[in-house]
Amino acid sequence: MAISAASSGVPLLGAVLIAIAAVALSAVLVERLAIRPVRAMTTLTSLIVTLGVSTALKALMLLIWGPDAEGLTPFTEGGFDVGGVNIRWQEVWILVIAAAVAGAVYAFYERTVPGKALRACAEQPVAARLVGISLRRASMVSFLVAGVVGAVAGVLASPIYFTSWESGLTLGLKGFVAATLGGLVSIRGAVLGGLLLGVLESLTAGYVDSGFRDAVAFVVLIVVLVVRPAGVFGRHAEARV
Amino acid sequence: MTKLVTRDKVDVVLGASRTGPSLAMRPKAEASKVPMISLAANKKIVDGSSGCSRRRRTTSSSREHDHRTPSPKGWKTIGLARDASGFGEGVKEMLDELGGSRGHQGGRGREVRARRHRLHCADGQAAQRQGRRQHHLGHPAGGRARQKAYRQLGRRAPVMQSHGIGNKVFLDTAGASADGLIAPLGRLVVAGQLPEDDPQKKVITEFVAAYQAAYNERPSTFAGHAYDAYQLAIDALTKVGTDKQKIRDHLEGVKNFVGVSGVFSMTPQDTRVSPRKRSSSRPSRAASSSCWRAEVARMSDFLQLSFAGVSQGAVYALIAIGFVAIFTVSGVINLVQGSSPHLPG
Repeated sequence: MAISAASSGVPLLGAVLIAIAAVALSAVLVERLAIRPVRAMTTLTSLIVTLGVSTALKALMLLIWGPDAEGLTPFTEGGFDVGGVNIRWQEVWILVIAAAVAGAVYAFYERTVPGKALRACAEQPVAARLVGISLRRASMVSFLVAGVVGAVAGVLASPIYFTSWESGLTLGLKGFVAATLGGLVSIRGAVLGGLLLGVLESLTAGYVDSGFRDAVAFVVLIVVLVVRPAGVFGRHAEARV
Repeated sequence: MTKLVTRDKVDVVLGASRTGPSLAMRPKAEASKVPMISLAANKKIVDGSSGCSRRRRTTSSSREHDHRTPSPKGWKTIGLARDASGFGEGVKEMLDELGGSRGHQGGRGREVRARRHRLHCADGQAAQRQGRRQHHLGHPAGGRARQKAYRQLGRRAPVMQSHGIGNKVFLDTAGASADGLIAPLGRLVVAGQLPEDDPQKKVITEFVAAYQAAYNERPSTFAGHAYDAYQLAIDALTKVGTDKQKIRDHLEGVKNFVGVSGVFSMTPQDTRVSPRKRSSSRPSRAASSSCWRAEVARMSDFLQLSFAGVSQGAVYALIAIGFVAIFTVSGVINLVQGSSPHLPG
């Protein structure tokens, strides 16, 4: 989307903002149209529903943008060497912006009233309702947050890891594995899980065989679920799955 | 394929254009005796088959061309980046075979384990080799991403791509980063630059003009393959009718059939296009540049891989935050989360 906007003459920053807004909107729409109408929503139902939506979206993207993967131009071209390690500027951008966004989300949950309301819903749904927090609105806000964060991830990664219609689900599953590593209930755990998974994948691809790259995530998932269902970094005794 | 053979009772099957499906179709073609004209290039498709497939051009012929180039320029070692999908199958084995007979060190197929866009971390390993080439089979976009990444790293050794990138899409999107790239390409891509006496000139020019008139865009290499297969089938059908055995015999006896992708001569065992030398798409300017030598310590390999992992991990982390945000509130696991990063693209 940002690519479409950028190629039609909108400056890069504008295109990026448009894309993030559009994705956030689409996430809220998914919540309204696919999640909320389901009466008895369990985690399993949600998996099935969202898998369906994700497949449909994939098809839609294929129809609109075609099968060829596209990439945004890097925010800054080129790179530099530090002690034999080559670093591309785009990777610096990824790290800086990802850290900023993760920090912002963390602050949102810890410091602001809506954020605290969300946490209240998460920890004590009944009590949250009793004090007048709307679960519906909370659910919508959570989709909005997820949409924005996901869109930022896409924009950041696009210049290096080219986007195409087919890799969405794999990426989603890896994000899920990362979240599971962190116990699925903590932002900090999710961040650590993501970084750990990325490094594990990269080292496996480098030292073992690049063919195993995608397998790593799922082996990790199985091991975590068997050994530590509450997540490697989880402090919570019980898992909510 | 089954439907085509059993229900529609077709006389000839054209396709598939990729190796995987072609391999899957082969047993069916053999069992039903329906002649099948595969458009894919992997050697495995025809090896040991009972002669109902043909290949347009095997991987070995383009690899041979790759090999011819480096030796005169003094490149001795080769870095190999191959796709971790079916497209990368057999590449290393082929290099070993060819390299051995030509005394090429790199022909041993030192494998750089890179996958698609991960050229970046692969370079830590490839860096030690003076010459490097990339074998990327398949996806023009994947090749494009790597080609750009490679240029961003500022390396000078020549890059050779496989014919898999032989598409206008690649050349258009890779832009300046493809300058100096050497690749075996079909003549279709460089139709305008062919010399007048080239036997294929007439066929290709006519094909391009007709395709452009019909679809208002330049034909891709694959369109050329399909066109050739179609012409071969028509040629067989008009000459010998619809008897399956006769069609097959005819196809296997084809000599010097001038098509868009090459001049075809087929044999029952090895029904393939004669390995004509293919044109390079762009002049190789990079070849004379200085050798890039560096002893990259193991440690920096590790750091490079880790760093690439951390930046990839940061992307996973953001997606994971989205999962957590939604799950904690409503217990919903939102798999659409994986698509949202792709929508902005």
